[in-house]
Amino acid sequence: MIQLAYASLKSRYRKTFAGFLWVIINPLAMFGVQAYVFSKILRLEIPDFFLFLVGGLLPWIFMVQTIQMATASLSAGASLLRAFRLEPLVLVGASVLDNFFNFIVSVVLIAVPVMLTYEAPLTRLLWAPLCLLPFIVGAFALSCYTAMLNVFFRDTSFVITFAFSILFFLTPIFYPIEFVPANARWVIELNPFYPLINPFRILVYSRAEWDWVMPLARSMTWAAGLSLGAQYYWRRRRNELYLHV
Amino acid sequence: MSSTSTSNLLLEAQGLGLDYPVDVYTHRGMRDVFVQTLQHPWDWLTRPRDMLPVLRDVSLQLRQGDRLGLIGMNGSGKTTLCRLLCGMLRPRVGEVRTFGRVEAIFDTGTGVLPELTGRENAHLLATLMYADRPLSKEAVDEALAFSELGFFLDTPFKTYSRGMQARLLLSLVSASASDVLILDEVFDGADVFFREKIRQRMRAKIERSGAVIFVSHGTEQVRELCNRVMVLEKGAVVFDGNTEDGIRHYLAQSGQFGR
Repeated sequence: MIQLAYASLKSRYRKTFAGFLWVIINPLAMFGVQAYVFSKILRLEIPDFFLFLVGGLLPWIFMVQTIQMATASLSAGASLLRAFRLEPLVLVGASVLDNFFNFIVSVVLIAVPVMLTYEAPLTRLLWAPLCLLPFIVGAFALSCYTAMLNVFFRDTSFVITFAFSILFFLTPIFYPIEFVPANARWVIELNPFYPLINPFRILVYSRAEWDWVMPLARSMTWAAGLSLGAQYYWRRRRNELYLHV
Repeated sequence: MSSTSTSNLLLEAQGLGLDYPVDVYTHRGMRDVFVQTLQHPWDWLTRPRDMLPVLRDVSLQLRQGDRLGLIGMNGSGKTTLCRLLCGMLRPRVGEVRTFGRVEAIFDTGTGVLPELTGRENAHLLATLMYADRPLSKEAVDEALAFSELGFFLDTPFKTYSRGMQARLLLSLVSASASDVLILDEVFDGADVFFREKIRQRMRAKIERSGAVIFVSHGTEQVRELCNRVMVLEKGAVVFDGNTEDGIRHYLAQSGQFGR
């Protein structure tokens, strides 16, 4: 899986130098535009808004790009899957790892400078591997669902693009969950992206020392639930996969 | 699939059965499913899926030295059986037990990342195909030299013709022996000039391998390579015995006998 992810990165960056620039330009442009719109035009009253935004936006971009890329992975790897025995989920996992590398690069080049600007303690990032573990497991589980669905339903990627355009507003990325009326907060709580992203956001944004621990426990519960569901779905339908790829 | 050690038995399948839901054959979109679910929600919740049997009660044993030709008309279940035996598919009923490494090749026209060169694809393919027993770099290099692709090895794989793709994969496939080797119509992709060369190399690999399942519609190839034939019809075994009788049975089944 690691070798496939590495080869995929090599392939993309060889294809065009812009491929590498895109890793940075995409999140940087999203961050710049949203930071300007929400702080200067809509004037959201959130302390240290840039820090708040970068902590949620970079993981969100990772989720969107990973799921979009992984959704096509089984269909794109159809000839490989038909040719010899290869665990199909290796293709999904390679897409997740490939994007995770991009995420790490964007954290180093965008989030760290913003943290330095706000004098946020960088030592908190030592906990990042722990907070990112359920995040990446959850991304893999969700990608398994969508990659399988894309094999069976030809319009899955359109549905996913549509779903993400709605979920962006239903996931507390550019606003804190406290802005949501208490009686509607359960809708946000049902959205898996929020618990998966939240521990990293807290790590980047909050100054309290251990306030990421409980959100991390929730995040791990979600990741475990999503993984069990993905495993069940995979076992139930794996035979049918070869009829369609 | 379990794996333990016995005498010269390399693979054993008992009572294999597999069926697919009929609706899998109709490729639909999510929007169609959404609309149908709204129109008939009760049906969606309660209606059992109609199943189509693909394999029925197939049993076989492969021992050291067996060269089994698997023949049958299109849609008789040959590829599905091979995929069950190598672990790509899981049987609904029955069990497959293996006593060694099973290697199966179903298509020779494949690469991993089209933007990478043929050489890079070959190394990646070797890693993926031989995941549990990686090929050495020397073995991959030898296979690349055998492919005679020369200058083209360092050009992007996406520029390869179907015949060049087959040369690359067949050279890799034939690079090492395995306990059980399953070859599903693998010679069909190679060009005429390379076919005889790869056939000789593949024959050597077959000799080195413990047991072989060879799927083909070409009765001459089956006659040349196999010492036993199994004929499938509509997902069931209708013949399992010596090569000449098996080929005769198959030709009679397909209406070609005596032509």
